[in-house]
Amino acid sequence: MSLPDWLNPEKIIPISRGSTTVFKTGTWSGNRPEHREKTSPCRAACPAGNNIPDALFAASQGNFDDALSAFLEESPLPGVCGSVCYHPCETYCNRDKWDGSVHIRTLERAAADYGNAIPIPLANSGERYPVAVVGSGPAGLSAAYHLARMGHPVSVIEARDEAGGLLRFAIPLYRLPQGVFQKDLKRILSLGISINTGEKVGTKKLEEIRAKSSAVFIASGAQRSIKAEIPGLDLEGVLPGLDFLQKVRRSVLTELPGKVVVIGGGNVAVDAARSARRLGADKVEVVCLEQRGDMPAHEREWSDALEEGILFHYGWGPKRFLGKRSRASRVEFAGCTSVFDSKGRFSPSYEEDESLMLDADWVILAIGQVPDISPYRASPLAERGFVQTDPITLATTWEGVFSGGDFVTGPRSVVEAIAAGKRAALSIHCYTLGKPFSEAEERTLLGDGPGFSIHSFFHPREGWDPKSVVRFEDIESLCLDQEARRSLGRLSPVERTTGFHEVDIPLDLREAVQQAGRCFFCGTCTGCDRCFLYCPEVSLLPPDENCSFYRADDAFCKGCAVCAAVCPRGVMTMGEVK
Amino acid sequence: MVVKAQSRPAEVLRPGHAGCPGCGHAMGMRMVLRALGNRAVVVVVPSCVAVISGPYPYAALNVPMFHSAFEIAAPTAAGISQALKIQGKDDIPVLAFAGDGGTFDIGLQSLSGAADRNEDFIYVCMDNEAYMNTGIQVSSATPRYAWTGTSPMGNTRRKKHIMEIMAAHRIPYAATACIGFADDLTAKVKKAKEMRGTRFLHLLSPCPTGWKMEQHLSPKAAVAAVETNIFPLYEIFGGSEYVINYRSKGLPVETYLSLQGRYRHLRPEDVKSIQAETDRNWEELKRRV
Ligand SMILES: Cc1cc2nc3c(=O)[nH]c(=O)nc-3n(C[C@H](O)[C@H](O)[C@H](O)COP(=O)(O)OP(=O)(O)OC[C@H]3O[C@@H](n4cnc5c(N)ncnc54)[C@H](O)[C@@H]3O)c2cc1C
Ligand code: SF4
Ligand code: SF4
Repeated sequence: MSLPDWLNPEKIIPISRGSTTVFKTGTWSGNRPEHREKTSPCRAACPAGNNIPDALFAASQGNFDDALSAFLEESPLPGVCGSVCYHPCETYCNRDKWDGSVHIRTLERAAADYGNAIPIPLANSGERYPVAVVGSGPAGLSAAYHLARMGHPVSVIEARDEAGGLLRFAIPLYRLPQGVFQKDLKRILSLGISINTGEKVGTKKLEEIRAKSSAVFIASGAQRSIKAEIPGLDLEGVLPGLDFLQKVRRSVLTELPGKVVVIGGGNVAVDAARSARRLGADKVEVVCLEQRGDMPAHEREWSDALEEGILFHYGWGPKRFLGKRSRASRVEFAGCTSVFDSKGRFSPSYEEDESLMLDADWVILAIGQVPDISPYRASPLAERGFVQTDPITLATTWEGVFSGGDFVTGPRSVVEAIAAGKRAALSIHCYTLGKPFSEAEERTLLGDGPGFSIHSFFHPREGWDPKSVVRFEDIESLCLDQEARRSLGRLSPVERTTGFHEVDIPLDLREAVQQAGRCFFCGTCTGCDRCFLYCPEVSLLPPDENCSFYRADDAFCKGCAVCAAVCPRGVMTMGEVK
Repeated sequence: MVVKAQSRPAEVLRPGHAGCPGCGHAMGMRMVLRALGNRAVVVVVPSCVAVISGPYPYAALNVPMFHSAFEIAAPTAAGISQALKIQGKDDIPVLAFAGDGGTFDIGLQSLSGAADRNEDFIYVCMDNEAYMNTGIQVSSATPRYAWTGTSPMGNTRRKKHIMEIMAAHRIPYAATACIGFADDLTAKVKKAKEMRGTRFLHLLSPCPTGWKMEQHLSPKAAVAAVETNIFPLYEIFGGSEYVINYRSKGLPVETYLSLQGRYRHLRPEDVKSIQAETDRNWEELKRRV
């Protein structure tokens, strides 16, 4: 039916049938957003380089398998670190500048507890290059784990009757439950790594395995207790700290009646004292050279010990052990006026007139441990009396022999041992293939290093700039919710001291999801769609089958930078038209 | 991380429109239209919305759109809505976009008439607090002290309380929303869509050009407006039942004002008086809940 002109809408009102897409507004500006993932400060601070944002994002979605898988990218021991790591990550967490850092360590433990995952293989190019590892502490296990992931046949040789180093024979159960370590260990062994226990490697054996393998990694730790020249040292009841802790972990010592005096101000001393308390000692006293604020022990360990009824005496050094019929009964101390000399060297000076006398049925001497190089005497390793390694490649002066962990650095931490093992693994891998390690490391250095990502060296993450670290200032804080860091559950001092139950109560599933949700996922795109939704030009394209990034449609993007401004994790960054 | 494919609502706004870079209106329109869906009729009247909706013969909206006269957004929407009902298409929502000038000033009496008759449409006032597309002139939505081309020393009048005016009509639904809180905005549009009668949305959408801000700051300014209680997010049902939707951080008004060049000339006592007025309004709002 044809309408008269005066009724025909086409005639009486102009009708737009075209689309504004004919206007290529992209010419208005040369600025363009770039989807550039970055590194979170927590990850840059974790010596092992743990992929925390991916792990915590998965956990926040209730997916603990993927969370565990993300931790396993860089470290074989998420359960262990989740329990005992000193968590430098949390110190650098961006949320710390807002309302308290994320409970990263505890969430790492939750991932290990609730997740199941198989470590992702890295390469098979190592197949023809067998590697031997000496020592099965965290450094040795980490090296073995990563080497196996790169295809190397790995055999670990361990002097003790069981694997684990200090994880198995020192760190007390109330901080590291046996099952947690065993679960990690089982996963490591599932990669086909063989561990020969009960074999102590000496120079001869070392030469032998060096000849049979393409490379050797030595990680025999720092477990020789320092012995002071103190009269009465050989009395019965006087024990070096590590020996004591090992006896406890082996259940050789199951009770400790009487009075216990622990000498030393470090974590080993505090662990020894707390273990003694749990073995039923009547009185436990810790005596150290330092004043209270200067003790090397961590604040938390110290305050836990105080709560458990352990007494501390600060500023005293042992003078002599007194005994009754070859058994220790008392210790005499002299007042310590300073611990270090003017050059900062350890050299305590005493005020001889001042003295302290304590009754003691047991004296535990935890005044430090050092690496023991004596087994390798007569080898090129021992030329200087200590092993010397290149800090980047961990190569020793002996061709094909690498070393790391406490054995090189002296007593440090689990995560630093893991980091050394990982570094050695990639370095050895490059060495066996005749490639320079420095290039490999450089490509995946996290922030300024020294942490790097072994996973992304083999599985590059497109569009990720590992060196740039997201700062708190890069996040739009106006858009952040407030949800303060909560303190987590712990056993009461009374519950703690009745046995070796774990002091920190692990998170339950619901809490773990909730706590993981506090993470900002700095530098990691979570697909939240904010950049997409806020684009006033409808010209930011979301990921699709062809592209896994958000990216600007060059035809229409006006370069306004709104997408970058609304990204809550600093991923979207402004650049220029390519 | 590979981002999983997700299902997204259809986009109604098209690229290529003539909004300034970083335009808060374009963001607001986009969010409103996504929530409304592509089975709808939209009315626009002269305002930045009309600039964005496209020059003849091109349209930026992917739905039938009627470009009406400045002062009659509401009755136009009412008429279209009635016509659709006569045609038996009463499931198609009609939504009118008007600017603050077209709502607070020029279209107020026709809006009042339509609201009084409780005509069936959604009215979205896109408030950028001045006549922007004609070159930044003061409107009765311009806040006190704000610079515009016609208030070079700062506006001397206070912003008209449009929500109270609409509440006085006892319409079924009136709500404030802003582009800084996309989920809240989306939920309100969806809620309005499910209701019948006159539904009013007062949408604050910062204007980088007229507010003299950097281009990327519209969403941030909108968040700041809410977090300082300058623009609280709330709903009014039936003209009397008030619900506050978001508990703000209650930040000092400087957080909001300092983002914008239009407030650069403020003296400390001006800021104080803005703070005092904001606090008073906030207390008043809480009293009504
Ligand atoms: C009581 C105590 C508590 C600690 N608590 C924490 C903590 O809470 N958090 C933390 O991060 N760190 C802690 N540490 C430190 C941490 O345990 C060590 O830094 C870490 O275990 C070092 O790892 P590693 O692999 O270098 O050496 P180790 O763990 O010492 O392992 C070395 C291994 O090599 C074996 N070995 C030695 N010589 C030979 C040889 N000749 N042939 C074959 N095998 C050999 C040893 O038997 C041992 O198994 C603690 C240490 C102690 C002592
Ligand atoms: S908020 Fe999350 S990603 Fe950011 S630093 Fe903290 S733990 Fe890491
Ligand atoms: S290993 Fe330690 S530093 Fe690294 S993420 Fe775990 S708790 Fe943090």
